[in-house]
Amino acid sequence: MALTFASLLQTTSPFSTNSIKISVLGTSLKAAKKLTKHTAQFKCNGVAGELSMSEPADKWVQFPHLCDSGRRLMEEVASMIETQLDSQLNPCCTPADVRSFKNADVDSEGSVNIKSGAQGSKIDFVLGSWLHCKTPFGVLNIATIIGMVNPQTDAPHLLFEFIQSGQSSLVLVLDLLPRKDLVLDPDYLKWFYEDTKLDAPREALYKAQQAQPYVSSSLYVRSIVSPTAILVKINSELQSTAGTADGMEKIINDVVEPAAKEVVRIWLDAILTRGRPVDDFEKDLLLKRDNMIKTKGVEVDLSSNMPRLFGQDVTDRVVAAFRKGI
Amino acid sequence: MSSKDKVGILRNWDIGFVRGMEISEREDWIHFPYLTGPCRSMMEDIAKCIHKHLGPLLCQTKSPPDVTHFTSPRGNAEGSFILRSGANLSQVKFVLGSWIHCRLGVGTLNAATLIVMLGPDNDVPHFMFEVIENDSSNLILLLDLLPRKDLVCSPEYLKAFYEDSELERYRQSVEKAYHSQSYVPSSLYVRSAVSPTALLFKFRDLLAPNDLNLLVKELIHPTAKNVFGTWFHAFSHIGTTRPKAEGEEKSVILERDEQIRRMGIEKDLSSNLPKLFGQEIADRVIAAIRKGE
Repeated sequence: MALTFASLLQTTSPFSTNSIKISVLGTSLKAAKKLTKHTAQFKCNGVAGELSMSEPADKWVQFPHLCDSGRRLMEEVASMIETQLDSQLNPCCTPADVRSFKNADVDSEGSVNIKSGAQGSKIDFVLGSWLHCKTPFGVLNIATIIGMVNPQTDAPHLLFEFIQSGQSSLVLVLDLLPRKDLVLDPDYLKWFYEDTKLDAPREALYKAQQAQPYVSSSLYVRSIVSPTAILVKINSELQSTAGTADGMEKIINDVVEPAAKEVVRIWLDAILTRGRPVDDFEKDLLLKRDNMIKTKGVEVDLSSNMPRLFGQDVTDRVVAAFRKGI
Repeated sequence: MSSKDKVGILRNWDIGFVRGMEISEREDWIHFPYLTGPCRSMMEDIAKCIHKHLGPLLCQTKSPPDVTHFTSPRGNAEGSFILRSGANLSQVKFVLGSWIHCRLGVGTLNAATLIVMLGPDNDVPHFMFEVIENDSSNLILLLDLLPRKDLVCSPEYLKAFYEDSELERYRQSVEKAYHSQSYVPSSLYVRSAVSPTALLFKFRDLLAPNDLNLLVKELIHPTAKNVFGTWFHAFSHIGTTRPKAEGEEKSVILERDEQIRRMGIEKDLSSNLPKLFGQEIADRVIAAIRKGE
C-alpha cells in the first residue's frame, strides 16, 4: 500500500494563530508501514495527505481497563464529543507507538489518541488517553479526555480526568478551563459559568456522602481551573455497600455520570453555540494563555508520573504528540 | 514675649500633643462590640496589627458617622464600616474594617471583616480577612492574599508571592483541623478572585462555645497572624524589590482592582445590606467604599 504523507513543517512563533506543525516521526513511520488497512485522507492547512493507521478511524479511544461503569462513562463521553464535533475534527493520526505503549516490565500500559481540529474549526485538538499501572500499592487507572479550543472562539477548554486506584477510590477532575482572567472579565464568567448553571452539577456531586474535595498539590493547576470546577475524591467505603466493587459502580452510575455528562453537554454547547468570535488583538492573548495552560498545566501533569512508569523515551513521544496536537 | 503669649503657645502645644496622642491611639481604630472572647480578641488584634504596620501610611477615617455606626429601622441589626484611605493612594488605596450584627428569630449572626486594598504602583496582593459567626456554634473563615494578576499568565508571580511562602502550610494546618470543612462561597466571582492558597473553611456544629473559643484561640488567631505577617512581608520586602508597574501593566492592575472592589465587595453588600438595613443605609455604605475613605 502506498504510503504518502504530508509533512508540513512551519515555524511556529508562539503568537501565530493559524500555522500548525505536523511531522510523522521516523520510528512510527516504520511501524505504520507494517500495518494494513485504513488509509485516512485529511487536509491540514490546505495540504492533502494520506496516512496509514493501525486501527479503524471510527474508534477514537477506548478505555479497556476501567471498571464497567467507568468504561461506559468515558466511552460515552468520547462518543458524545466525536459525534457532536463531527466535521470539526480530523481522523486520529497519532503515531501507533503513542496510541499504544507499554513499560519494560510489561505490567503497565497506556494509550494516547489525539484528533486534531479540522481546517476552519474551533478545535485545536481533542485527546483521549489512559494509563494502566501496576504499582506496589495496587492498580492505578488514569483516564483522560481533553478538549483544547483554538483562538477562533473564546469558549472554554474541557478537562476530564477519571483516576481510579483500587476498587474503592476515585478522583475526578472535571472542568471547563476559562480562556480569560475571570477577575478582569466578569462578563466572561457570567456568560459561560453563571448563565449556563454550570455550578449545579458540581453542587449535586459535592453533596454526595462519599465525596470530599480534592486539592491538587500544584498551585498552578489550582489557578487554571474555573470556580465551578469539580475536584473530588470519592471513597466508596463511606457507605453501606462498603468496599465492594458494586459500591463504586453504583456511585459512578448514580452520581458521577449525570454530573459528568451535564458538564460535557454544556462544554459542547459552548463550542457550538455560545462561543464568540475573537478579534485579532485578543487572539494573540488567547494563544499565549492557552500555551501556558498546555505547557505548565497539562503537559506537566502528563509527564509527571510517566517517566517513572514508562521511561523517558515513551514520555518524550507522548509529550511530542501532545505538543503537536496530533 | 508676654506671659499671655507664652500661655498661648503652651496651649497650642498641649492641643497638638493631645491630637498626636489621639492619632497614635487609633491602634484601636475599630472595635467589634458584638463578638466575644477569643473571636473578639482576634479581630481587634489583627486590626491593631494593621495599624501598627501601616499606620504611618494611612489617614484617619473620614467615613461619616452614619456609616461608622448604623442600626436597622426594626432595631434587630447593627453595623459599622470604617474606611481609612492611604496617604499615598498609589501605594495603599484603603483599609476597611467592618462588622454586622443581627438577631434573626432565635439566633444571632455576626460578620467581621478586615481588608487592605493596595494601589497600582505595586502588584503586591491585597489582604482579606473575614469571619462569620452564627450562634457560637458555626464559624466561616475567609483568609487570603488576593492576587493582583492573572496567575495563569504569571507563574513567576505565583512563585514569588505564593509558592515561596508558607501560605500553603498555613492552609493545610487549618484543613487538617477537626471540624474543618471546605467552604465554597456562593459567589462565583469571589471563588475566582481568591488565590490557590486561600483559607476558605467552615466549622460546623461546634458543641459548646468553648469549642469555638478553643478553635479560635489555638488555631485561627495564630493562623490569621501568620498570614498577615506573610502579607506584610510581601508588602514591605518582596513588593519593594519588584519593578514598579507601568503603562499597560499598571492599567490592567487598576482595572482588575476596580472589578474586585465592584464585584467582590460592593456586589455582596448591595444585595445583603438593603435586606437588613434598608436602601438608604446600604447606599451610604457603598458610597463610602467607593470613595475609599
